[in-house]
Amino acid sequence: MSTAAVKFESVKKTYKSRQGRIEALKGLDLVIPEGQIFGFAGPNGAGKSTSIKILVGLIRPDEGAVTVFGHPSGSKAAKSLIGFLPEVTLYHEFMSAKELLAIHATLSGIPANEIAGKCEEALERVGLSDRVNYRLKEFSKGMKQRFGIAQAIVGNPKLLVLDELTSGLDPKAQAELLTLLTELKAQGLTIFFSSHHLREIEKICDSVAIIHQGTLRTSGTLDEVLGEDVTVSLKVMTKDGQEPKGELAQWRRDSDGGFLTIIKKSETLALIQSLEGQVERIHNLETRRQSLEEIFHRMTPKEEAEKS
Amino acid sequence: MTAVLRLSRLYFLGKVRQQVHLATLFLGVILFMLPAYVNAFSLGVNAFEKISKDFGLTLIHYFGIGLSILLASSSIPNDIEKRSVYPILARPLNRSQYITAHYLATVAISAMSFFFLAGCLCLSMSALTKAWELNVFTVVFASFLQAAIVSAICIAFSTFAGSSLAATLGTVVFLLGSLPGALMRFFLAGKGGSNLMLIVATLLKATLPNLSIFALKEPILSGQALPSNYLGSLSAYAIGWIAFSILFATVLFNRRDL
Repeated sequence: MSTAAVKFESVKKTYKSRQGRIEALKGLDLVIPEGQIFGFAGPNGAGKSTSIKILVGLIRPDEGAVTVFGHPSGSKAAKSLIGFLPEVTLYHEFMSAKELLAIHATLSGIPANEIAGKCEEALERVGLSDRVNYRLKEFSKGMKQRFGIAQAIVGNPKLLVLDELTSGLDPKAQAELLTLLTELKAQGLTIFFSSHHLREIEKICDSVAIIHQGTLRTSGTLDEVLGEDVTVSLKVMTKDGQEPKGELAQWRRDSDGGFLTIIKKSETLALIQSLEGQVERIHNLETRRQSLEEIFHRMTPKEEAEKS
Repeated sequence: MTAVLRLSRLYFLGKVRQQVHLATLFLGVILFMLPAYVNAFSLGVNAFEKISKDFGLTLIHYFGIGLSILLASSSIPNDIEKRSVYPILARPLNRSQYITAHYLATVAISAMSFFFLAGCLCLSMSALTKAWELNVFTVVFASFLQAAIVSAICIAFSTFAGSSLAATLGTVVFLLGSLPGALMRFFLAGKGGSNLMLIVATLLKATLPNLSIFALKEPILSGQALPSNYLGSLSAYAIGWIAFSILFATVLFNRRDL
């Protein structure tokens, strides 16, 4: 059983605006296990950025508490354990990657004699070791995001908080960054990954949460969130060309004379056993489960958002 | 402290990239030529020295104050707008350190401008009078202290307001603070002036820093000797106001959601 890297306990946050009070978070409870990649999804205005800002200590909650490895968010102890990459950041582009990284390392409290080594190591880990002395204005968008990860990891954090890391990147750059995240996870980092790209979350995250209108709609491991809806599609060719007997499945004849059924994953073994003697061969067996995107759309209905 | 200095170096370089030093260089060229130009049109009246110094020092004063107000008011709001503040304040860094870094960067740019321009004026004056005109630096130092206070106040305003509002409020503080109290009372208590206005203005004057004590141009140009340790007292007064303003800025900025 892994320990909690981050805990949100009944966190509430309200903003005042010209239109009145906006409840960004309405009592958010969330636990992020250590050593995992955690995907945080939700539509625009759901409360993702507010949650992230509270986590990294940029804003304070009105009620409730957030802890990072047991330390209150916003405290020096908590901040020293976090590496943060905001959604859109304009870096000081006149500086070279190495110079700017050295400043971030200093701010993270890295001793002066270790800074150069730490910077080289961070740039190496994100694949920018050949661009050490390049100015940031010479970097492509993908390289800037890589630099963003380097600045986030240069202070030896235990938790990486990445807000919309792959937003606006081409598919190749996106894939490279996702691979990088799995590598960082393998090195022991916990990664809090907020994204609109649900397929990315499904691809690399161990656990996931969906937030909507300031409340948590679902959270858990990816299997827990997606698991209930796993189905199996089975196609068989019978010996006598007749529909298989038994009450475990509803069969449909396919154009090539085979029989097709879709059943719950848990019933698969029983069904296959019941088919013994009837079936010439299993033509196709496919596991299919509801995608995170489908669950996301179900849990964040548009009309609900429009009413609020 | 290392963190503050490294951060202030970053902001200093950022300001240098805004090319404000080009305006300083341009003004430097004007100040180089000013005494010779005034001398050429003095038609034998030997007043070019006083006129050039008066005009040059006034230019340096208002340019330096204006530059300080603009830089100090925009520094933090720009950082917030570009979101480059986020990865910095997510680090184990106090907001007071962040504000101090911005302040030091602004003051460093102001100091460079003030003393470069003072150097230009001093050199060009000295070339014509054949004597070192070092008293220019005394006046400019007092102007710089004034700019340093106004910068700190502008930074405090910019922790809760946008750059335009912070600059406007900073300018108001500078104008009210520079106006001698007696002059303000004379105008407000005159015909059509209300007692209420006078009370408000007097209260404001008492609350804001007294910047008129930094106006050393007239006494220096007229050859008055400054009391010993006057510059030391001015510096202490300036440091007090700067420390108070930075503290005030920290209190305000600590309460702000970013």
